[in-house]
Amino acid sequence: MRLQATELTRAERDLQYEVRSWLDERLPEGSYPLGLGMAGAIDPEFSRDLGAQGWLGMSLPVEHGGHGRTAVDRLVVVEALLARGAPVGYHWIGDRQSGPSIAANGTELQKKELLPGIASGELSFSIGMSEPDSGSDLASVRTRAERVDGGWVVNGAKIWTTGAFEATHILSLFRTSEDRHSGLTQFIVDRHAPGLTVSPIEFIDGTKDFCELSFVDMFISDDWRLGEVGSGWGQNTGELALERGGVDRWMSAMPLVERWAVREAAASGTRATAELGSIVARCWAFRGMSLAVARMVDDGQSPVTEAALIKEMATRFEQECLEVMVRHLGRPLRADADDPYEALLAKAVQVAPSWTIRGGTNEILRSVISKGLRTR
Amino acid sequence: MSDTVRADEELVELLEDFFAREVMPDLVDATERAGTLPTALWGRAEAVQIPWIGIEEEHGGVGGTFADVVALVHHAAYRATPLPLLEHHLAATLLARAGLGHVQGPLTVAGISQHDGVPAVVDGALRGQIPVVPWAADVTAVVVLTRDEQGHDVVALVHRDAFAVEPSTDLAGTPVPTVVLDGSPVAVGQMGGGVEAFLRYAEVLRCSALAGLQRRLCDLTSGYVTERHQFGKPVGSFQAVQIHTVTLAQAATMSMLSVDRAAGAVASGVGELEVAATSVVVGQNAVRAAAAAHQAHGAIGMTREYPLQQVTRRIHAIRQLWSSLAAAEEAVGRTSLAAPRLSELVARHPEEGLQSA
Repeated sequence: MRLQATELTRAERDLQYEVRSWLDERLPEGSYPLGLGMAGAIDPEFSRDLGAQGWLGMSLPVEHGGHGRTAVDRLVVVEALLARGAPVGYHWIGDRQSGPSIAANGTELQKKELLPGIASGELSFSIGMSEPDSGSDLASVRTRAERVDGGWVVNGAKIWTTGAFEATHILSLFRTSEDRHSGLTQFIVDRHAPGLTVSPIEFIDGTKDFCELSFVDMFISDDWRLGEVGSGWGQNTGELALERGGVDRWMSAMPLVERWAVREAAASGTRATAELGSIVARCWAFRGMSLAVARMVDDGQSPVTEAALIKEMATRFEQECLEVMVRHLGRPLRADADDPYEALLAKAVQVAPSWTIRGGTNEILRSVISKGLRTR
Repeated sequence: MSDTVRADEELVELLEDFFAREVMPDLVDATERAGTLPTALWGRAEAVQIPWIGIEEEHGGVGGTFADVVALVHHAAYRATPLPLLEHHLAATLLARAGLGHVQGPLTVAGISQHDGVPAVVDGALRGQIPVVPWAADVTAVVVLTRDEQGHDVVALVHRDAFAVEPSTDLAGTPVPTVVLDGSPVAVGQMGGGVEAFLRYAEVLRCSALAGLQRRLCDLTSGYVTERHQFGKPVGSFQAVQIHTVTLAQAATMSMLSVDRAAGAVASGVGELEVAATSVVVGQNAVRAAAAAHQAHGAIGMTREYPLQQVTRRIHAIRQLWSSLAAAEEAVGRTSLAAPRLSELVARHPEEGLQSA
């Protein structure tokens, strides 16, 4: 596997400067709860402001409220947001993958109804994939959509669905026939549809973004089926390059590392300086890989293996960053600390195992990578 | 796409073919046992002008970009080539920068390592010892990057008849004798261009060799785990083995990309952060890759009859050739502490870095 070296163009650097300047004004230090990458706080107002700048749904078509821009442009915006631990929770999934997936696979009606709201930050998406008996073995999904007049009736349960409670829509994978892979179909479910109950599942750190979905005879119009019947598995796989190779896979701990560098590494001697150097060097390298993958996407390629390869090591790296900071702190962490750095580090230590699980466990990713490398 | 620096495709093909054809594991082994430079191989490389890639024609070379030289070093390392191609290129580059004319190769180089000092030029002569000078017994001259009595950076050309050698060998079996300088007069030229910039240039090439070795480990291992069967299946079908092949692919991919980005920065006259960061990640990855390759191979990888050890011993020989990994990590750490925001340092365009002479 060889990634092609690339750096930002002049126009992309101008965008980078514009985004940073805007964030300096919009998110002054202390004015918002610091987040850990894509798990940043849910703040619909911030998402709408970002949308008003033209920085959501960037790659979506202009006629549907998008901006017809590139994956690299989006990377530039997203990396500035994640560096600050910005409150990206409300729009994150819609902007990263549901929007592009609807643009690629959706009907005119779906595009007209949904894409403008994704680009403006009005809509919030969640992804309904895992089930109590279907985690890594996603093709074993059992929640069933049965054809009825004018649409489908859904029965079953989804679990570990991040952000579903606050979301406006849930892009879900349902079983429409017995065939293991070609019996799966994607649907765009209204979060408030009758027959759907969303219940929070308390997360390890006490937060309630994780959810359980129960479908009892939920009717969904055939208008909200995404793509052909039976094409859900393929569409789902197509989203993975967008989901796995991005800067969000190595930037979760960035706001902490920024603060650690200023507060402690500077005064902690050569060992801490070397550890900081190692972290920054690897961030630089991962960033080069994410940028190369974004260029491949813009070039019309589907770098699924590359993206999996990056995610598998970048998410382990994020956890290693935490360990460096925790060792230097050298005492038990307190989640209720007044100091926002310590409180965030305490939260991070609790939630960090999820980084190598969500979006495909590292074990599954290794299989994906191995298969991808063999077929080259 | 901006600032991509790519090697000439025809040249890359020539390099791949040449090293694949000429540098078999048997030759690497025989060279190590003999302890002397394989002059016939050097002659064949000379015949297709490989040692002179990237040296301008006015200095006796055949021209080419920095990316071409990066590719040369990569492909030579991929086959564990027992020739001083990296050293010769750096020596010829120094001669060109110091206006010391064209000297017949093979050449080697000294004064790049930060581990040991080199003697200064005093009264037009060099006196003293320089340890670990690869292939010094077998070259036509050693080119030394040093200083004169006024502290100016200079390049000294020391012909083979002006120094003695005390034998020593590195972990890869490459002769790395100590050069003993008896105070004979040497040709000296002022170093043109900054020394710091030259050291970054050299460091990218050393990292390119390490990246080439990592790609070889990756290829050797993915081949072996497909062929080797245990429990009735190729061992590569076991997840416990896949973790090693994935680690190798990650190491090689990240290392090669980082080298290419650092080379692009150096070619634009910058690269302070890019080269230091590349030293760190390529050095770290090399060690992880060597361990993963051995673990995936099991016992056969530990034998001299199988070529894996030629590659992993080279990694250990050059991974801290000129300075320590810790020093590279500290260098990036110091740059990071001086930056207003780490994330902006990581995301900066190379041109936003230090401009160097």
